Amino acid sequence: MSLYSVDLEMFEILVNQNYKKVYQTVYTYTNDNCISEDAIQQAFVIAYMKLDQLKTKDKFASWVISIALNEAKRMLKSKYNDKVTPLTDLHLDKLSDNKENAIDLKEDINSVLSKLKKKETEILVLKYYADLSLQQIADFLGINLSNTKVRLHRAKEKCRNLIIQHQEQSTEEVNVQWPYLKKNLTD
Amino acid sequence: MALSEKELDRLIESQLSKELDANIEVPNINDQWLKIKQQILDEKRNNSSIEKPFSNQKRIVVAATILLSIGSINFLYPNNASALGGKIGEFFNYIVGKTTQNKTETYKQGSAPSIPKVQDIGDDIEKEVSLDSAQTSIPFKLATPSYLPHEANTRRVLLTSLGADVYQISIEYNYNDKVIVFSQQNSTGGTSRGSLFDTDDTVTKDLTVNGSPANLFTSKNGMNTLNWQTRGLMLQISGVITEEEIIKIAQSIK
Repeated sequence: MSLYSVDLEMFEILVNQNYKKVYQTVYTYTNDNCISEDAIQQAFVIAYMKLDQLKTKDKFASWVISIALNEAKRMLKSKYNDKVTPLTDLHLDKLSDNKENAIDLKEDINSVLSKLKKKETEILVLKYYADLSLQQIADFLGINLSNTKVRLHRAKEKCRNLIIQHQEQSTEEVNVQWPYLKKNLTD
Repeated sequence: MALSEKELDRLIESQLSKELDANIEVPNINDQWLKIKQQILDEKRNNSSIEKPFSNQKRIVVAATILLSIGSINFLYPNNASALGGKIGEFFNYIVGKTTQNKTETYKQGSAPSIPKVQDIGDDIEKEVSLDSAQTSIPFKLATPSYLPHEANTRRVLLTSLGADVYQISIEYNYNDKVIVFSQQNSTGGTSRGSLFDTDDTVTKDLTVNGSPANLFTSKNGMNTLNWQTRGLMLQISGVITEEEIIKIAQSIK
């Protein structure tokens, strides 16, 4: 498929189908609307130009995500390199770990993501939401394959505990609030 | 409570999807698409202008200027020129190799060239067209083969504008999982075509096609290229195809 034979109308369908997933994944990494939008715009343009390099069409979303994440990484790097902040202007006390490391989540007591560290959320989103391969994740994170597997395993275990905890809490709530219903259900 | 790996994977996937949907607001996709589309169109325009930064006429002018300068130096300062010529020779030998040769054919039109007419084929310098629309866009009668090997079928036709009134049409044919390319180019005045080849892996043969001299280049990878002229058009057939077949196709082009 050459550059000129890819119909823009067909490509618009691909963008519509995949934009949400790409955006949510990239935003999880950048936590910045503008950078996410710019990186994704660039990624879709690159994808259009290099569509003939895509081996399997069902991997389109993860391919674009992979390009967009690398673009976002590059943009973040140049943003921090360009920004010269005088030392006196740095409010180090405000750079709390939570603010820096977690994505902005609405307050939700049942949120699993809010209880995970940024690195854990990141790897779970890349694996389970963006459907990237372990090698793609390793390349993006700049760590080797074994470390990627270890990090993913740990994040998954933590997620497992949180989900179990969450489910047990829900059951307890049913017991307390709806004892008769619970009784009927178990009977 | 024990969760199987499969169940855990499914739960993580659905939990992530639910939470990301609830927490990350996605911008208007239509607006984003308009930006993406605009950038794609800009990139396409830029690529077109990068691919063909000089027209053939400009290339000829640049080459002529270099040759003229060397000629002038040779005439005014023969000793310096011979030293310079030696250096240029060494440089070309370095970049193309000693076995590289050039075969040039020149076409001159009988009548004086008329003022070139500029035809607008749109933003794209090169575009895919049908044979019919190619014919309506060019100022000469399209040459087409009346003979093609049985397995060959048309893949696509590309129209390239090379400058004022000069066009190249490339017709690609699918043939045994490979591609044969037949290209033709008109000229407004006189035109020369040089073909670089390496004597280590290419054998050349001088032939005649319908009374016109032709050059056949046979590469050791099986690729044959035939160059010739007819009706003021420079023609070329190239592909992994036998010498007999390539000549048969060429002779069917009037």
